[in-house]
Amino acid sequence: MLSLIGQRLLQSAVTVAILSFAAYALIGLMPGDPIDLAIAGDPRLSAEDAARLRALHGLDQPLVSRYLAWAAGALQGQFGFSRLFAAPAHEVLGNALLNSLALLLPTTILSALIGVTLGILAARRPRGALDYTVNAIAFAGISMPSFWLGILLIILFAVTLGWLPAGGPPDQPGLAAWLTHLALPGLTLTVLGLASYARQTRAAMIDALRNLYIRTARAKGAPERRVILNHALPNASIPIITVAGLDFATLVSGALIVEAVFAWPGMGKLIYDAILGNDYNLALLALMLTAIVTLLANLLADLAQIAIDPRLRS
Amino acid sequence: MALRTALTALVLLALPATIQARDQLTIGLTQYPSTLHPSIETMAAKSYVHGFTLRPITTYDADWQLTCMLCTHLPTIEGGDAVRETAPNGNPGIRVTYRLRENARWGDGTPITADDIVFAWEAGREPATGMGPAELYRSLHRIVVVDPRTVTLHFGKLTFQYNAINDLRPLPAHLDRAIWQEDPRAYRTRTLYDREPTRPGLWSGPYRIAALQTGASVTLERNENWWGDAPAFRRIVIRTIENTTALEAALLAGQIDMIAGELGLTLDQAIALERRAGQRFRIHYQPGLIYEHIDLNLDNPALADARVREALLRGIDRRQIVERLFDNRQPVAHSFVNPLDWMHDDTLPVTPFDPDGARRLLEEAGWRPGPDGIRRNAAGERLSLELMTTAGNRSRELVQQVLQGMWRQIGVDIRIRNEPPRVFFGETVSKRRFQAMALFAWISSPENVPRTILHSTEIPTEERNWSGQNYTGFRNQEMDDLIENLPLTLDREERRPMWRRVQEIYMTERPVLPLFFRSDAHVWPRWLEGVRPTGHLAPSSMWVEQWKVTQ
Repeated sequence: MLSLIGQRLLQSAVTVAILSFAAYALIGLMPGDPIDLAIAGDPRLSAEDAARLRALHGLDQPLVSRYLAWAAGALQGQFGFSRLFAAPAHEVLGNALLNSLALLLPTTILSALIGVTLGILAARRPRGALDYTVNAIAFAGISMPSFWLGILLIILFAVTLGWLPAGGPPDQPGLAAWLTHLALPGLTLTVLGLASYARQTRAAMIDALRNLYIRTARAKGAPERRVILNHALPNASIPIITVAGLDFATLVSGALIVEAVFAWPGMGKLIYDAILGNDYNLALLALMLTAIVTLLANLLADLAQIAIDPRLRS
Repeated sequence: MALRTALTALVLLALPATIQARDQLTIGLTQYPSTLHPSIETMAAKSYVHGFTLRPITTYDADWQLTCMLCTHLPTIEGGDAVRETAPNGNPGIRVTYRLRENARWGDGTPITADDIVFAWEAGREPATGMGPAELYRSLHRIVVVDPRTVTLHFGKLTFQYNAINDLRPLPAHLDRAIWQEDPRAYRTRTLYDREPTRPGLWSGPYRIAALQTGASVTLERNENWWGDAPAFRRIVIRTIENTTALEAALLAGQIDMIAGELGLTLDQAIALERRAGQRFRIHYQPGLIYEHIDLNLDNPALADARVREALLRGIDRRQIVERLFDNRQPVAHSFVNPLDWMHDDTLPVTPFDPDGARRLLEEAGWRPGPDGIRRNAAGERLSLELMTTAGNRSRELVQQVLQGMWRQIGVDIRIRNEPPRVFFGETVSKRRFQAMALFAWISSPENVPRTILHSTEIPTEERNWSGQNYTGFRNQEMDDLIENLPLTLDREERRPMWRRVQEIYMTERPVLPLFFRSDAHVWPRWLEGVRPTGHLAPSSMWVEQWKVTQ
């Protein structure tokens, strides 16, 4: 097991290194550098100013040299300065990460709990009324665009009823303020997120409930609750863990559209702005963090699957 | 009776809460300032925040007149405090003496002095500091401190805007100078404006920054050491909501009180909002200096012919576009000079919507209708032109489609190809890679000499490292001469005929098809009065002391 973990960590490190260069090169090769963007916004910038600013920011250097300088700094824990937010990149990222976690952690847990529960209930009686209802909810969640649901919720709860704020983080500290501001974006993400859990769980549970050991357990007089939770669910949990692993990575990559609709300063919006604004330091740091967390989440999901399914250990 | 008493009591109880609530103003904005340093980078969101928190020495007011904010009076040649002289390089120069207000102080009580201007100049002219446009610092070659409140600025260039130093923002030498001196190259990452922006001593306006939520909001509180009229609100919160639909929802939900027109709703959204909720909000449409137009690539063989350019202009009904798409809220443009600017000449003949005339001109130019209705020249080439703009800009894309239909009527085929703004501006337009037409906007300032967009030396080329904004490739010796001489002509009345001629050449040579001047939609609650949008780069927030709450 330890050697497997070691191998996977080594593979992950190589992947991160390759990804960092690919991301740097892709941002660098996009048309227009930060100075071009500045010139478009300020006609007073002359050719002399542009040359001076390019030299100052190192933009007159070849892409590979710039990448190597960035990588050397990053390896020493120096992630540079965010051009867009005029602050050290790690500080900007830290704030956005906390905002994203505050929004996404509870919604991911809620989505998983509600989705798995609905999936189990639907799988108990396939093609029954409850199954059709759960399927309808799941399809609605999968096919509904997040911006549309978000705007609908804003119109209903913020504009028409005036019960909840339309978006943004609270101006004042306090749990109540945070909860009211998180309510609408959280509800949007939960509704959208539970759909995939419900569908995966339903399908896996229907498969699991067809197995002979389930029939045996029922024949031995095990109560239905025990049959479902102790016998069927562990066997159906592998695809659910895969979905959870992927969801875990989104905790740090944010939810761009929902963040934009609810003016929530999270990671999704931050990464988008950093890439479009040619903020190399911030974009690279955010992308690397996302890549590392995704790889680790996949590793953890694999380990969890191995722990649950003894067949995988061989 | 009991009911009436109860209702009266309720109203009385509610009243203080209302007044208390109006002690704070929450403003919605679609952009977050990337830096708060006054001289590093130019950004509308930053200017808006600085309108509340900083005072420049001079600026243009809402009537587009140059005015003093930190100085006691505008120095003039006639008044004797601006004197012509010869610059060290032998060129005509000028020295201008400014006197700062006696009571002007930073937010920590430290007086604003000549030393703060000297520091701003020293930091700005040092290339390693990395300030944006350096023209001011190149031209301002010497500063003499007469006394702590008086400075004489020596400019190596004489222009009619000799006393406008809107971009020379004093910096608090008592706080930031040591940081700059320690390492000018690192100053932009270490300045207190970004490291500790809540330090009161950084601010000189009616408000100071009290708190920041990166990317989300800026909270302002009254500056205890403000030296002017007291502003009405104890606190102002500026919230950033980039999505304009969400911004509108936040307004309707009462989460924000007003939307700044400088960075607010799109015009069509504001028009729809006015129809839906006009009773709750006052919506003011302020035409300004943002000029929507189509740059024509004069290297395109078809567009090199002035008759084709005129035909294209005659073929579009700009009045109808403005009426149908923008509810008549944006004035039609006939040149780059805004009708609100003093040098606008309304006696010049304007090009009317005249499709028959357009067809005639195209015939004269050798373009005759083909079997598909599109004109062809003698070589059989179709008159097919590419019209580009910024993808995702709904308003421009709508205009583009209307233009396509109008030009089709005169036999011109338009191919629409749009690109994301960073590609469009960063590559296609700035390197003149558009095949025929590029639709976008220019932002200028009052009485702006159009050197960068019309002088022949400003045509972007690889040799010039693609600098310059004469994207059309326009070359006209008389225009070049006028652009050279206009800044040197100090007397306004002497400039008037020169400006007329500039507009005349622009309107007859037509390197550009003028469309309209964009209007900003300012939305504020009915209980707020005194907001005066300017229409130029100085934001309405610069006169926040005049904002009042009415019941």
